Amino acid sequence: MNNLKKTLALMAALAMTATAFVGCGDDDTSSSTTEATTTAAEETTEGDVAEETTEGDVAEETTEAGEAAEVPALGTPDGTLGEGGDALTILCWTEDDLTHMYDVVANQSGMDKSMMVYKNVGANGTEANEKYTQMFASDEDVDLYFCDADWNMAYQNNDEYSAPLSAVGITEDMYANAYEYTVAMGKDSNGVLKGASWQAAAGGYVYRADLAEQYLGITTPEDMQAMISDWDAFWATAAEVYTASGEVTAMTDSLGGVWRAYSNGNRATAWVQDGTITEDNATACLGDFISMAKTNYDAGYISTATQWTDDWLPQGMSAGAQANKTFGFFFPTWAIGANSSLEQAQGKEGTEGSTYGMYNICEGPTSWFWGGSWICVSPKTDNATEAGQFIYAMTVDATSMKAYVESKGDFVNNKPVMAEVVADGTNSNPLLGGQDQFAVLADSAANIDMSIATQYDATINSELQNAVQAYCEGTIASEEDCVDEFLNKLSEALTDVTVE
Amino acid sequence: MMASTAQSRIKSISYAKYGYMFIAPFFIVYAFFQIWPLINTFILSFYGNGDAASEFVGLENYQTLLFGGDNRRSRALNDTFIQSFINTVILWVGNFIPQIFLSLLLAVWFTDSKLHIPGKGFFKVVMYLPNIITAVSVAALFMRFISNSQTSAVNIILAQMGNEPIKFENDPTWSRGIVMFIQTWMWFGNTMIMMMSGILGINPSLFEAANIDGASSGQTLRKITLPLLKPMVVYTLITSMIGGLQMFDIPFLYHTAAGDIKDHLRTVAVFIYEQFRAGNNVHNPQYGVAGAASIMLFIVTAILGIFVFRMNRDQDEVRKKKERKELVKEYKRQQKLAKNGGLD
Amino acid sequence: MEHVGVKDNYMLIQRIKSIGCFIVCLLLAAICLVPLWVMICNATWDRFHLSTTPINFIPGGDFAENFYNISKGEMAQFPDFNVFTGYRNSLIIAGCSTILTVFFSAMTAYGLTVYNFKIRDGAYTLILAVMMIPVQVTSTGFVQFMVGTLGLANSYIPLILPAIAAPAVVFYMRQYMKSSFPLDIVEAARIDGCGEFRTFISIAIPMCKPAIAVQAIFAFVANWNNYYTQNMIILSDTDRYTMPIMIQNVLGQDKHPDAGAQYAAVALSIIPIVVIYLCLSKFIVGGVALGGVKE
Repeated sequence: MNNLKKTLALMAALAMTATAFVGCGDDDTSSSTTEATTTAAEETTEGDVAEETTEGDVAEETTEAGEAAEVPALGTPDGTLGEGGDALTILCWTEDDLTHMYDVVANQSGMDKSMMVYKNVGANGTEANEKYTQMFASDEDVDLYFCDADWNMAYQNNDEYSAPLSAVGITEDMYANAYEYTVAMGKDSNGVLKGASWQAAAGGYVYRADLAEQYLGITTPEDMQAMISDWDAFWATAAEVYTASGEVTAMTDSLGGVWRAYSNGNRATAWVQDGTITEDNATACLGDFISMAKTNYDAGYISTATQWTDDWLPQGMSAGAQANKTFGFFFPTWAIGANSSLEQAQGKEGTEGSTYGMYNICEGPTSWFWGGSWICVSPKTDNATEAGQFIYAMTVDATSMKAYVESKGDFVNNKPVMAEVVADGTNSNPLLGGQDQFAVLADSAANIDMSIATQYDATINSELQNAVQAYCEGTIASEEDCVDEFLNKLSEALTDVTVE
Repeated sequence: MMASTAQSRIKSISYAKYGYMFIAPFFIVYAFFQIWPLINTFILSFYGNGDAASEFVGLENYQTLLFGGDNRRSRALNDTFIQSFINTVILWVGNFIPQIFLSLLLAVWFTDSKLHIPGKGFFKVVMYLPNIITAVSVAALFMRFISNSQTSAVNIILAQMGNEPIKFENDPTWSRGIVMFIQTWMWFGNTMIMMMSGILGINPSLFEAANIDGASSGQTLRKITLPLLKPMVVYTLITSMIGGLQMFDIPFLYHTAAGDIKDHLRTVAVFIYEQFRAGNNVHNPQYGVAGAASIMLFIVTAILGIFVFRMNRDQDEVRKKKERKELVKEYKRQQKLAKNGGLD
Repeated sequence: MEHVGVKDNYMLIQRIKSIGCFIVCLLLAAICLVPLWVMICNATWDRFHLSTTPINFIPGGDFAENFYNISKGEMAQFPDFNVFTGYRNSLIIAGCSTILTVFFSAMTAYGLTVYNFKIRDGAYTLILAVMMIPVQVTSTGFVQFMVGTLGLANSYIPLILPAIAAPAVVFYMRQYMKSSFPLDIVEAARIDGCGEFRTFISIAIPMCKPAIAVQAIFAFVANWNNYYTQNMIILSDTDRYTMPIMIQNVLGQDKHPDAGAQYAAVALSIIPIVVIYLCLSKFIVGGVALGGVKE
């Protein structure tokens, strides 16, 4: 603690001499406009030392969307981490985002673009976790790494894997404009900020506009939303679609998609409480999901494809083995920008069966979210300065974040920026036939609540989906057995949690 | 024979140090890379799992795996382990029987001088071919042909004929059958070559003699080839059994969705791997459970190995050993007598 | 051939038998080859064609496109896939391991066969005993020791050096030497003043060539195909990925399902080794047969 105070005092002193004053609403502002603000520096010190109160402070400071709060400039690393490495190595499981980030970061920070290299662990989203563990076990040179919402806590809670962001000059007050949940999720169990997110992963229902017109006679996303405003309405519409399509087209892409929407939209409690998963709590968390899934799977309203397999995305095309198998996908913001799952699902423009641009988006039966990525700093980094610059450019600086929105089409973690983008009305997503997905999802993003997330959610989600999939396919006989199987698998997988 | 043995015994006295020199590298490397890890595994099996890895728990891991317990975790682990053992046996038997049958048959045909099979060389080459291919590539290939995926070849064809796609991985019979087929497909050529080199190792003069005496193919097979081939068959049995107990690649890789290893394909090796490997499916490494399962696998292998080893032991050696034992006994008795005599 | 009726009849039976055997062999050969041929053909069609015609016996013209999709293109499907890296690494590991395995196994077997020393029987029994130990039994401790204690993650040492101690190969070699290596030769060599090690190198090894050839093939294939151990040690360094690990990563690549590209990746991992095998097959299979007859 003493050390921390010293460090922070040093930082505050440094900040006083070189604090940049960045007005986020102002497009012209760049980090070169410096203006020493003693108050900002003092706030930094107080805020971080009094960890308990930090959250409240930020909540108070947080402004309504549209009014940009002033955020301090990037601080300097506190010297606890290494410097002078050749390259800023970023660990990831997909480089789709990174390739868009290089320019953004280079323009904002003046870092040489060739400084940034990535290491792709080349695994499924769910398996990336395992690959990461191995990376750390083998002492690879990693400076920064991306973590998925399902498992970022496991890394942030481990001091061997993650350094406090303050060590690279990033402080909590820089996130006054961010979505609150991203800041909460970025903290470890002691309340130390260890991860920063560049995106807010609100989810929506992305559907085939051409099929909607053909089967339902619906032409606007607003009308579509009215048809699927809650789960009952959603399944009623599903029946219409299924019948009208000659029993070919399922309403949704996969069980996994329905579970994501249901789990993060309708679940009220955390899975693990006091280190225990009780059967009662599990049942409460599951709600009526299993019976809902089974009924609609059997009826053909949920596609039999599994997420992240070969069957999944080709369902979105109008030719091929999986042609028109689904009416729509439950997709979050990161899946509908450039180089995204949606683009893959539509097929290359002009090729046979391509549905490029034939989709629309609406909120769907529930307000939900899926994932999101946090940037963490490896304690073994040898590029503390560059690491700070990268995080600052991607998660704090309004100008560069806006540039990222325009480049990648992602929903960035900055309320004023997103409000501005929506207000400008300039965003037109070619994948959605020109519709602006940000306008649809802005409210959902503001409502994301991840207070019930635990570091075990990755395992829980994948075991649950396996069990329910098996039940729907008939391998497991009853709903009771399904819950039992789910809990059994969980008990095997989680050593530090008691499953009753 | 006895004379030459005695001769060599006398001679070898001064050469004994070379014996040690020749076998030393093997044992040094083996101790470092295998024995110590084995002991390490043994030690780990008495310790806890995950966060409690440093806690000594005695036989708890063994008890959990074999008999379950009063909490959900113990019961679940017990079920999974027992099932994985059953799976291993089923998958091994299912691929060994066709494999040994095919390879023996082919080896006998190919070495029978009376049969004129054109393109023998070609067949040998082609049948050994699947074995040269990386198991992971084979798995990848068959996944594209026949799997859960609706874009796998068989399912596309089924769909074109108007049938519902089949989730081949989910059906125990289908998936086990497919894994057995892949294993046989990969290994029968290998076994065939082993068998052939065994048959060809039999002194050809024996076959010639049989031929001159007018023995039929069947007689030659029963009276000469098979009995003389026994060590080779037993050797194949040992290696195949060891291979079968560690069957990993194909059962581990034969699933479409990430981490969704099927309960009816999980072999003991896959079970162990899942336990000691930190990742999504097993949150923290469970060295204790992995160690205990490893040691039990070791015990089972050892029992089977001893059984086969006894079958294989060459009778001469048994007799010699007996004689030597008798000699030692006799010597000791005389020593004792002499000692006692001295004391008296 | 004497022209006796019985003999004619006998010849006829043999001929019918031969034809029967030939047909069975043909069928088995087809089962071995068809999957590989289909794979090669499929690798040359794009995914749209494959989604309607999943099994092709005739090559198409899309290989370049598929290859582009798996190599480092603008939207590379499999960014970590580089066949040549995979080949180089797998060759290094399998090649070194094979040489170490056959040489040291022959040496150990020779020591156990030729010399008579106190612990010989004990040593041999030990080798027989440890032969039964599956690698899975030791892997928990192995990984912890190699990666945790010695910090050898991504190193080839834990993958190559253990090849020196291959109990099963020693067992096989000893069996072979016992049956077809006359000890008199050693004595004769000694009388000629030949050193012990030289006797082993210049007399024993050439005489055991058939056994060494068989074991070398098996050792090479086993190491080339080894996914289990390699995957435990080569954790993160993509430059050191071996072929099996690369293919596994291609399979695990979920975001860009492209059947054509997947076939192409698998085909690229298979074709060169198959070609090399076919070139050497005469030597491999023939050598096995020849060696057997000689003794």
